[in-house]
Amino acid sequence: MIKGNFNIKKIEIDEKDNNQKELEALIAKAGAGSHMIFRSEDKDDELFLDEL
Amino acid sequence: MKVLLIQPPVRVDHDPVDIPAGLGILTSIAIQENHQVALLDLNAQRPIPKWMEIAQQISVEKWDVIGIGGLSSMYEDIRKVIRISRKLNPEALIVCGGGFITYMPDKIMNFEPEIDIACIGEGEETWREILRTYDNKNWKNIKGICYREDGKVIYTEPRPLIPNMDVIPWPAYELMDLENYFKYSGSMWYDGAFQSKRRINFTTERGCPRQCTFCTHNGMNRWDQEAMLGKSKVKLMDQEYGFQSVTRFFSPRYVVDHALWLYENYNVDYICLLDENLTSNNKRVHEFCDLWIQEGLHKKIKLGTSGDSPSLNPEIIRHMKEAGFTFIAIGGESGSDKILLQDIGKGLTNADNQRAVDLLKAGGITPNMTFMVGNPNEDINDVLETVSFFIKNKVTIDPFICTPYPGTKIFMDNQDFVLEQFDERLAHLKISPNPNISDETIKQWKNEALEKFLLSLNNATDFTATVSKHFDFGDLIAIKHFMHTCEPGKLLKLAHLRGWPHQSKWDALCPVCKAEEELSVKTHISK
Repeated sequence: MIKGNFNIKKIEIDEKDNNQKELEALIAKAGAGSHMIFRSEDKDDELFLDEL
Repeated sequence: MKVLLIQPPVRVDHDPVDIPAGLGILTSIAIQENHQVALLDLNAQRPIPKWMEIAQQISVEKWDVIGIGGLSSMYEDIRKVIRISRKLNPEALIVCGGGFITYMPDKIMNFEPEIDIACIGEGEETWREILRTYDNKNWKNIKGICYREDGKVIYTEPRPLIPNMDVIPWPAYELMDLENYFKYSGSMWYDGAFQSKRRINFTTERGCPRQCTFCTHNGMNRWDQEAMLGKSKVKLMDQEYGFQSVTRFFSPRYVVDHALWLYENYNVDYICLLDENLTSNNKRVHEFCDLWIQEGLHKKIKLGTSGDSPSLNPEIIRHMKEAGFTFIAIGGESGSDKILLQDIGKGLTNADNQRAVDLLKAGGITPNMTFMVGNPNEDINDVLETVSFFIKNKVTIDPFICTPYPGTKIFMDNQDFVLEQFDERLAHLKISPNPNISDETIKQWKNEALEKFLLSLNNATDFTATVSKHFDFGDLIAIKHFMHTCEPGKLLKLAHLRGWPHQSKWDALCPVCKAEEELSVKTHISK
């Protein structure tokens, strides 16, 4: 994902595991169409700024 | 020093169709300046990475300079990238550029206090000078930026356009995730591009000779400079730096060498030349096609591009077909001459568009036209003219809703109306002015509304704000749908429900008028 002209420390990223929140985000942007999607109430701290 | 460039996500509900060509050029410049450079492309995969993963990627080094860019429509995600970058790199110089910041750099820098420098308009030379000035921080001599000093945002002198674009380096393809983009090569479903396996898009032109009211050029042509700086300032720049052009092209030699290199190094089989209006310069198109064919590229790489209706003629189409162009995208915009000429100011008519479709079909190149709905003076009769064009040409088109993006004439002409749609207090004050509300308070509300508007610009196909004098947002969504499904009858029924008068020329298509006529005749007979 990140590429450089020098040696950059490698970060191992887990294989994608789309959970409910990711699905909601995608649906919210793409439009749900005729599908019914239940929304969780956990919308806080999307950017994890406090953990960085 | 260590330099990181970050490409934010673009239209996450679509496949990623465009490599980060602009940021790739800036990456090349940073490499030319002998820095340790990395490119983080957040747009290359779907779904986009989790924000925590993105933060992990940024955190692999302590960066001295971080460059972030994008369009107004990407502002929501750009903001996230900026905030994460600052959190992880408190000391880094954060430089932002592109359309999202070009047209209102001081306002964006107020919304985003993490930004150190805003790069206005064409960025290549500005970016190079910023890197060279990093050590002494003497920003005031760099043209075309806003920077912070003593808590204030300071504008420097405007930057003239690059007179010879061939000095611009090719993008740093070696730092892009090209194989991932190649997976989506067929995502452009136009003829030829749909079947490609290794497609790349780039531009060979900056600016456009036309002045459509809904369009901007990212600060990279004369029309934009005049809008941002005023005509008198641009005339002074003409005298000092040479004529500030409406359209600049890379030379045919530059483009052909670029394509040859891509073919030899990445086996590219299709290139979309995402120019604003490639066919506007017929002479250059002929020169380009001659050189393309001379180098044998017509047998190796297919091409697609965009143009405008009046510049197309049988000879240019024949030559482009010979060179390997499979489609030409044209902004049709509307089937109504009133809208094309008065609202959009495109300088062409529906007859020009029809002629272009007929010429392209006869010449064996697919015409791909885009349309829109919701221009300021567009009424139901204009909408029906557009649908008639769809029906006549047997095409299915989902029109865009006309959106007043920052920097466009329709935004500047309708700014207060746009902001009222994002703050009911402003809307209320327009109807019932209140002298007890201070100008300072109204200014603050307008800034808050502007921020909400910018954050809503997620996708040009979404509804955000309207400039229509005839339709509200509910009307526009319904009209857009019935245009897509090509149902003039439902549009006319909607007209009767809403009380919009339609011309008698549509009576034969109108279920309400037909029913009324039939009932009237029956009533007459029964009497």
